[in-house]
Amino acid sequence: MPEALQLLGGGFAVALQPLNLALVLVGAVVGTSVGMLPGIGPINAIALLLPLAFAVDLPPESMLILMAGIYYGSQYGNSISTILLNVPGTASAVVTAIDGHALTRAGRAGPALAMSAVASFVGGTLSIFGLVLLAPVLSAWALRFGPAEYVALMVFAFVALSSLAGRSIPKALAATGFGLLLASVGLDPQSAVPRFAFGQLELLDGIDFLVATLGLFAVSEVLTLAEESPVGQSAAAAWGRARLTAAELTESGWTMVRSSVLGFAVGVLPGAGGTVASFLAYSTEQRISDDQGTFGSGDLRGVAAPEAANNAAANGAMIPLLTLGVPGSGTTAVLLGALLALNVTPGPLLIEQRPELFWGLAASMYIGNVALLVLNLPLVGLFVRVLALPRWILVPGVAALSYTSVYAVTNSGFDLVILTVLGVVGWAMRKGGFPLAPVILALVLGPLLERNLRRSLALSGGDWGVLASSPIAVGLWVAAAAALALPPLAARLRRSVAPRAGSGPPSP
Amino acid sequence: MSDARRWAVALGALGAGAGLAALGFRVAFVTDPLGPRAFPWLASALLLGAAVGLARHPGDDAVWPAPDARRRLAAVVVALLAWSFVLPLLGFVAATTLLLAALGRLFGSGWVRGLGAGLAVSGVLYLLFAWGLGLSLPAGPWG
Repeated sequence: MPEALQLLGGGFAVALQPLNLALVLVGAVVGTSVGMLPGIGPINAIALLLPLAFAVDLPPESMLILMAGIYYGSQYGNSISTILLNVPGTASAVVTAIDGHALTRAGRAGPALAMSAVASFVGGTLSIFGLVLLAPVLSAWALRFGPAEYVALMVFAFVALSSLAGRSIPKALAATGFGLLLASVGLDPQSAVPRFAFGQLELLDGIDFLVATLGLFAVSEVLTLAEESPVGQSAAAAWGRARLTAAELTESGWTMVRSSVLGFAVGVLPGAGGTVASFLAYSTEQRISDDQGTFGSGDLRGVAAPEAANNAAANGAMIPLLTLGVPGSGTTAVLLGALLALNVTPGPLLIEQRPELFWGLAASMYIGNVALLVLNLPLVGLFVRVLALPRWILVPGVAALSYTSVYAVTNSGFDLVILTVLGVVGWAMRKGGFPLAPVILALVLGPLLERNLRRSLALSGGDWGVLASSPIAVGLWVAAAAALALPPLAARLRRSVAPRAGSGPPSP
Repeated sequence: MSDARRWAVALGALGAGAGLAALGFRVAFVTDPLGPRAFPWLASALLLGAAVGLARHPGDDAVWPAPDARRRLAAVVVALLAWSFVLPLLGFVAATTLLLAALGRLFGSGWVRGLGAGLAVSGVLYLLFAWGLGLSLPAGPWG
């Protein structure tokens, strides 16, 4: 393992360059402030800030570092609004809301916020070790992947995300199908035949994933908020100081460690991600350490468990993204889209060919963790003030930011119309209970899936047997079948925790 | 007709329409065994499968917005589309100030406050994008 440590040292050299260090700090702070806006989870925050990040001409590793900072910060920001306002921006934050908001009602929001920061830090730190140890192994193994194995892997990722993302399989199928349809708009790269372009020149290039992400997530969020009562939300409650006592820390110590390990393991699996991780960690901790029955009525360990697990899962999810080039969640799908736009193709060769990128990112994630802890604990009071801004400024501001970003990057009025149309579609899908993450995953992975499928069939002369001709491929098909069988289990788990989750279904 | 059935009809129509449209994707010579049609057909098969699944197992009905909320939604969509079209004519700051004031009103502010806040926010956005990031935004007749 000394080699890995040496490489990680090189990564720190990249991450500690003044520019990159500044970027991870800026990313963490900006990510926190955007991720905190009610209802805006990490995926929205990344989508909103991506065009800004693209606009600054950065080398790919710096760009990736900036995005990692935003990813991290937005998750913590999401915890702030979850704990203070009980509006989880993601499904994974729903569990944090149970005890976190109970603590806020009891006037102990400060310790809850501090615990969320500390637990995120522990989860992030432990899982970075996992990332550093596991990613090189996995990528060495993934070198044996040919087009057929990639097809099987991507199908596995689709099935895993679709079957875990929502309660209804048909709705997840519909979302995937819609995403694949969006992915096939434009010139077919292999035969140069226009598909679903309806004679529009602008459609020949296909649908920009940025436009799709902002439309489906940010614009649909604005519409969802417009639909609710227009009266402003309640401001932040009394909250005490963002400090933890030594007793509180030691009491939650093992909770954080256990939840981090669990969260990391779950995060590595495609599709499962933060939601399953935080539900699992919470229910496990409840069973192991809730001897006085205080979980659910404001127990700090009830905040520590999901927050540690969620952050560990976020790092775990980087493994399939970076080593296989296959994202397992909506957020990592957005990151993949951004990487592809930067001409970086994640995959088994990434660690070898672009070590500065992989190891620099790993080191930055660690620095981002430290930055969040030292910046956010003292600054949380400042962040909270953003939440007190009236809604009639916040929501239109989010809308204006998304539209300006798209226009500034594409300079196309046509894309603005697509943005609006997809916003309405995304709103309708939310109303109908359709998950949105599979649409983005399909949009980003669709072209890769098609290329690999057509390549492997061209190599085999049209023999479909090639898709299951290697042990790895067969294993992945079996895993995909198993992922289809998982949702009943997940549903049972959800039922055992959900009744305590309090108000409202989360937005995806 | 229940909500799920309406979705099933919509998804079925989308899937069937896409599948039929894909029939027209012809290539002059065979480049690979699958060709450009197979992938859209996979998408339309998923949509048709979803339609059948929803028709057979309709879940809970969604709560669709009340008439006043529906009007507010329509107004937001119209305002956003209008911004897309007047942007090159009025320039970024003026168009965005109007957009923010209109949206602000829909979210419960008055016109005067909305215009003031709109001017402030669009000014900040303009500075951020045009100066901070060096991207071009239309200046309009004042440029």
